[in-house]
Amino acid sequence: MFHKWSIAWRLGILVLVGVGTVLAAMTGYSYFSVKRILEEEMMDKARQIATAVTVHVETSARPVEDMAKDLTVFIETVPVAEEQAYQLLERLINSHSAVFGAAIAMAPQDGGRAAPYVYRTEQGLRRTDLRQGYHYETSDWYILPKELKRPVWSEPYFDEGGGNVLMATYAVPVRTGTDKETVTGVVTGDMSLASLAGLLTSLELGRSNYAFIISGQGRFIAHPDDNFIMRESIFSVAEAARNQHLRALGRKMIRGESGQAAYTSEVSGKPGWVVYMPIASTGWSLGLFFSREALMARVFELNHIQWYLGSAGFILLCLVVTGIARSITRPIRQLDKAARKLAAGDLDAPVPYINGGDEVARLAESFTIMISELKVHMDMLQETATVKERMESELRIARSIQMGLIPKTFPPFPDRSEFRLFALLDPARETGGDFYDFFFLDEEQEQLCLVIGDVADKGVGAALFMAVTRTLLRSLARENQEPAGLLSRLNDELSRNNESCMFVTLFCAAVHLPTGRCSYASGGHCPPVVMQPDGRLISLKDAKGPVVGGMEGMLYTAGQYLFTPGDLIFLYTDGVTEAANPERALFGEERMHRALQQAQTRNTEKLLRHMRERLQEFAEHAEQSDDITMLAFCYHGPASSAVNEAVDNAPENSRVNREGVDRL
Amino acid sequence: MEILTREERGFTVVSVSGRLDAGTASDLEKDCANLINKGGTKLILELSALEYVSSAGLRSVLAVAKKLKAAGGGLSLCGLTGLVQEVFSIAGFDSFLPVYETVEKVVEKG
Repeated sequence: MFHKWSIAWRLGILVLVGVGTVLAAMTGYSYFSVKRILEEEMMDKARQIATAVTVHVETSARPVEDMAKDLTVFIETVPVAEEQAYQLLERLINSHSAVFGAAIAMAPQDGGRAAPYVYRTEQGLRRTDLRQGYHYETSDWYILPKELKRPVWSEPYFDEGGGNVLMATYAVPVRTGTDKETVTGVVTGDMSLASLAGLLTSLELGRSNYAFIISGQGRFIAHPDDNFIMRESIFSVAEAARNQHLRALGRKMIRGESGQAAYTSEVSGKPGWVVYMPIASTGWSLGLFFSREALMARVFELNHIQWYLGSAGFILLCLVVTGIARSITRPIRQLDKAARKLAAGDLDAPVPYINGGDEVARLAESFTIMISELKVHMDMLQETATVKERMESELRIARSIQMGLIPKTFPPFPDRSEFRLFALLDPARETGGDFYDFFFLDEEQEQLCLVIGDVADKGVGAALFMAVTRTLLRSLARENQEPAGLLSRLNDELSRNNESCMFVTLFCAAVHLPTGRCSYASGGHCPPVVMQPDGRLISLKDAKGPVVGGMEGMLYTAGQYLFTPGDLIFLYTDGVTEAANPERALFGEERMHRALQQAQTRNTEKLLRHMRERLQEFAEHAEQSDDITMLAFCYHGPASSAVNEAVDNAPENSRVNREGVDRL
Repeated sequence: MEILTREERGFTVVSVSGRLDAGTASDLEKDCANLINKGGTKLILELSALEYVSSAGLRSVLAVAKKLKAAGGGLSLCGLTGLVQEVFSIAGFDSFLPVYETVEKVVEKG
């Protein structure tokens, strides 16, 4: 599927996928690292704030503690009367702004003394005797230090009798007895917690974040939601939410541990973290809640910029990659178009020129070279085809001239009983200029002329020379009935102005049919063979003469032979003896003689067909390089005794005129 | 086919070896024409190393003979043996070209 897409698409998608992955990884990494940094930052900030808050609370608490301790020392040393006690308390409160109120509460059984208490109101300081309608001896702030024999910060409480504000009381046991051991009363200092809420809300914690303080028993004493203050504790919230983790966290906080933990806001129910820290002497614990939402909002805020930058970069990259990919593949597409046109046969289709030396430019260059070479090649092919066609047509012309001139009707003289005659001409691919001919030399049709020839050339030239030779021969034969004279005349005619030195080898025989007397001459032609009825072969070598058309003024000697009925003369051209087999061996005269004898027939046509078969057998598949021409003439005797078809079995006749005849 | 030429007392001897056929005949004709143009009008074709001669080969010999005749010179053949001798004999070249056994005999005769 993917490999079917265009290169531009693939390139674009691959680059974009790669870059997109890197961008996504970078964005992801930065998201998590920013988140981690912000988390750490948040925790640091939380710890700083918590420290600041605890220091603040402690600095508010210490003057109260100091005042109470100093007052205790004073009372233990010097007994004071009621009025003195009130004045003392008033002076102390005025000089300690952090002190909301202070009391000296001696044990009730310790005489009917009052328990003076002075506290701040909007109208100034106010005196109260705690013994009036207030059983302080059952209050925690009285019992705990008395029993524990050490100063104790009370649980915060609403002082409904006194200032009606949320406060906490520091109570110090007083030992006025002689033993200095028995606790005889309690001195207290009150601290208003009303300012705590203001302190916590003044902290710049960010949206959805808040701080709270729980007391030593887990009760909320400072909380953004007033409904929680003194009404709920961290344990009651954990109970309501059935939250074990919160309960565990509460225990850690009231044990005075510090740390941080995952936390779900008891106000909004949103997830986040809490950082907690003890407020030393008071036994309280500060909690700072940071919501995840607020943190993530910041993370996203920071990451948004990256997202926008990344997306913009990606889109820009898309455009650039698409542009590059298209610019790379444009020339390839153009080449493709040109190649298609070329494939359709349009060699003149313009090949786009491509600038530069890159691979595509080189491809285009090769393409141009290929087309020009293709053109040259095609031109050459066309030229070769034309030349070949011309050659073929010349071959056809030569062959048609040659084949058009030789007689092809057999038997040629069906009404003549004195002889039988058959001839064959198998032209080579490039015709060799062979020919044969036969005609009567006289009006009485007693003298039959047999001719076989071979022009020493090939092709049209040979065919034309052969045509001239044959025509001249026929016309000259009217005046020269003797072969030797005829060849001499023919030679003179052909030699004249024969610049090309073309010549023809010729064998010419004139047979006087009534007597069987034969006169013959050879112009450089291979000697014919006479096959006598008994199978003996005679080669007519005696009539020797030069090739016809070579030199002017040549004389030819005549040979004589007397045919007896049954004699067969076999005329041939060197195409027979020089027929070659694939090993380039020649057929030769010996094989020819053997083939003639093996034919066992006087039937001229059968004999020649037999010879042709032998030649084909010998040559196998070798190409025929020269024309193969054969002519067989069988003499049956004079017309009166002509009906002698059984020549094969004829007894050996006496022969006349054997001079000059080679016996084989 | 290979052609070697040498001078021998006023005669130019051209030794031809190998096959003289349609493919090589024109080479012989060309070489001889060059020799004739240079003035070598008394030419001897020494053919003892010739293996085969075709009708095209005969034609080139004839052409050389004619050219020499026109130039007032002459061509002699020598060293004819076997098949080559037979071909030259059948073609009747011996009837219009002098044939000798060896080059020496041509030279002796002048």
